[in-house]
Amino acid sequence: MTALLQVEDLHVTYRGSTGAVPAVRGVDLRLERGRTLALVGESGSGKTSIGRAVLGLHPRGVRQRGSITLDGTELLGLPAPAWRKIRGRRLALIPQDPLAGLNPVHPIGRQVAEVLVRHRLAKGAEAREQAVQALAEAGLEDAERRYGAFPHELSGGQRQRVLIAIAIVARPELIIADEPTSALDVTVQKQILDRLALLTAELGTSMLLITHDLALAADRADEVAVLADGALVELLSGSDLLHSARTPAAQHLAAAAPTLDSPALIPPPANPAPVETVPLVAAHDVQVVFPGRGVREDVRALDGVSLAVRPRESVGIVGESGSGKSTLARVLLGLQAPTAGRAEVLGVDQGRRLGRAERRAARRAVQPVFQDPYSSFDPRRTIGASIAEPLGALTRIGRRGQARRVAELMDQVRLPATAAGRRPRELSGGQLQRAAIARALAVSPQLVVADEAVSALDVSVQAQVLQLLARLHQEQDLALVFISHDLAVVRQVSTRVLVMRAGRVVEQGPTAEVLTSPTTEYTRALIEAVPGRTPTGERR
Amino acid sequence: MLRYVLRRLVQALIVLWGAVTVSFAVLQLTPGDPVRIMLGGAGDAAAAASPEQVAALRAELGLDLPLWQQYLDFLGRVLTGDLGTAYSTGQPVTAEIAQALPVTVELGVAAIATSVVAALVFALLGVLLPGAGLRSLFQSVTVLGVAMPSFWVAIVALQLFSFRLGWFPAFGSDGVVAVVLPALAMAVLTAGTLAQVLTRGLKDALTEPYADTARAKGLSEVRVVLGHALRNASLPVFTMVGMMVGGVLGGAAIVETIFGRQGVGQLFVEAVRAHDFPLIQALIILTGGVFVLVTLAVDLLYPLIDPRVVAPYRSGRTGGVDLTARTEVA
Repeated sequence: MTALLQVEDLHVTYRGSTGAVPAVRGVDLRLERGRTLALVGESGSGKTSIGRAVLGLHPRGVRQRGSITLDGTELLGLPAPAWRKIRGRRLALIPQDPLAGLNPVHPIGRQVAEVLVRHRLAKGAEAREQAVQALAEAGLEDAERRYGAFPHELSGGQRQRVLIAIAIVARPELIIADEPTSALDVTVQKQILDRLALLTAELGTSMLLITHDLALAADRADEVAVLADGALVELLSGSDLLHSARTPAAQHLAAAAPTLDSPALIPPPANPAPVETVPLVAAHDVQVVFPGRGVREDVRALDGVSLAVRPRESVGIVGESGSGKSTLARVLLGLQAPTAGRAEVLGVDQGRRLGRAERRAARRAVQPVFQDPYSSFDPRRTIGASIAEPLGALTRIGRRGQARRVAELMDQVRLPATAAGRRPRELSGGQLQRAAIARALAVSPQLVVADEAVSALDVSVQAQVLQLLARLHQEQDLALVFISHDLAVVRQVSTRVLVMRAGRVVEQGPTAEVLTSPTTEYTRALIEAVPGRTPTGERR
Repeated sequence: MLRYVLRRLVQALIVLWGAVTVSFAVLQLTPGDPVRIMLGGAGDAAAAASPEQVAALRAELGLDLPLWQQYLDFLGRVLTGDLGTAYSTGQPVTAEIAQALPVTVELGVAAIATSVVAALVFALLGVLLPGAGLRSLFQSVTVLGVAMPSFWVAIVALQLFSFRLGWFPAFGSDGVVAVVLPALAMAVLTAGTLAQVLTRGLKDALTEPYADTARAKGLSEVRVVLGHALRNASLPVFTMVGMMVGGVLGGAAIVETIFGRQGVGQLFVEAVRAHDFPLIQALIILTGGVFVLVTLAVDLLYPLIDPRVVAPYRSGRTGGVDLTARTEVA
């Protein structure tokens, strides 16, 4: 029996400004009916290019060579009208970004029913009925009532369910899921993936799961194809991925992927700073309320949060999106004034009118690193100029001294000296995030607040950045506040952790303690949603 | 939704009041004595008028009253629709405008309809034609449109179609035939601008993830463009069309003068030349009023195109995108 999807010697080449850029170089894959094959690898490994080639979504300028067959039918070079009969009907896509994957100006129900209408499977009331059913199958509550809702009226998880409904409504044979949950909270991710697994099992659908998350692939796929530089490195079963990879490239990836079993980079402090030392930053019963506009209710982002970070500490903050993590970070950084309560930096209340010197002192003591390095750098400034900017603003170091300090900082974060003259878009995400750390370190702060600072990075790059932060913490006594939705990451670099929910701290304590014996149901759910672990907590 | 409409209505009224106030201020700030101008310009006749005559007229016009009282009187008259009498013709200002307005409306409607249709055609061909060469040809043609000022198009069109070929009349505002050349002259620039904005919007929309979702459903590229990209891409175009409708009164002045059309634009030019203050005031209020109405219409129609616009005013859900800031620019 022929495989449902067979990819042979696939090459995909983009035309770049400097010549041909090969994205996929001779990949062979085979996917049987009813099975799930995961494509894993870092950005640039060619996994998304393969997915787009299978769907025939590459634009006209992209060269493709080799063979892709669906149940014996050659897909490469198929004329557009024949493609239109296959896409949506036999092949379906679940795209990466639920926020951008839906057309903002059309009601969601119509976007689901459109598939049926276009393939003449149903129309009118019948299409509507089937669309409602698909939405319900995808796990959207109240599907009938939400049929006419617009995408912006739904949460990210709900939107991803709509995209799943679009994919399954015509009962395709193969679903290509391109990072289907990377924009979602772990708990939502688990729900969505569980639902997807249930549906594919019920309907006998095959799935090509594209992901950068190895733990997720290990959990969810029958087989995993590890890709690097556009080539297939290793093909192995999902259960072998994390611990039994044979090739160095796959082992390297597996080692970089943090799970709840991986060793911590920062050991618990041997001699913690005594409680009576003045905290670097402290929040006392802080509330932050964003006033609602019009008839919209006020949003209580923080509801009585207290936290003190002492010198040389490393504190993790975890929670779902909307739990108030980032607002707390902004309060600690002095970027958000508390509505009630008190925020202190080095014992100085930030609520009252501060003198210029006091404000500068606070800024020098606490520096930020944000999530998206591309939007936290001025695209027109060179990296060197951006790193030097806090020196010019907060110190009296002269021009020559600044250049020396920039070179020193770039060396510390292991950036090549030539990067100083480059612009942000000429650097990779990992390099740029290291530059962001260099900028934060420029004024020798005592504390760095990192808000989802590694969430946008590939696992191996993420591992490097985490190691850098751990090294700085240990060598320079830098205190860290590390905010992440990823417990496995927080566990690696934080010795103390706060679990937040709906603007409150629901649990806190030494990281190892909280993660092994959580006291609240919420924390337990967060831990159980982390991929790469079985429900019993044993290694797979 | 109701709050949204009310807010826009209140804003519209404030702008309108501003236009009336500016038109009152114009009279105060312009050099020259309106009474002397009315009595026959700055020449000998004015000098000949006796001081008694001047004083009588001044009293009749209420110009001897304190400024605030003049302003309130003016506001009152505007509210009752009494905009005074044109100095130059002795006709009521409203009658003058009523005569000129249809001529300009005809021109404006023709010009804007032409530019919207042309922009749609060029932008759609610019993204849908097979072959990158053809597509970029259509995209670059639109730059030509932007590069040609309307007075230049008008003169070239006159030369070619009226003087040489004799297809269309060179002057006047009688009949549908007379509107063709002036409308063309006005439409070239606006069509080019609209086509560029629309093309850019379409190209952006086609690289959005939702366009891939649509393609993955098995939709043809034409359907992806018409069914999914066009409506998203038309938002800025819609705003621009609104601004153009508002700008027609001002923009028509040049074209109407060249083609000798008795429209509002030409009336404006003549009024300024003759120092005809009541007429100038009325025309300022009219222009402001048209702008206010058009902007109000655009604001109220916007939510029909993009459901996110009213989102910030609805209760409950998070994640509403505040696009109202963008519409307020219009």
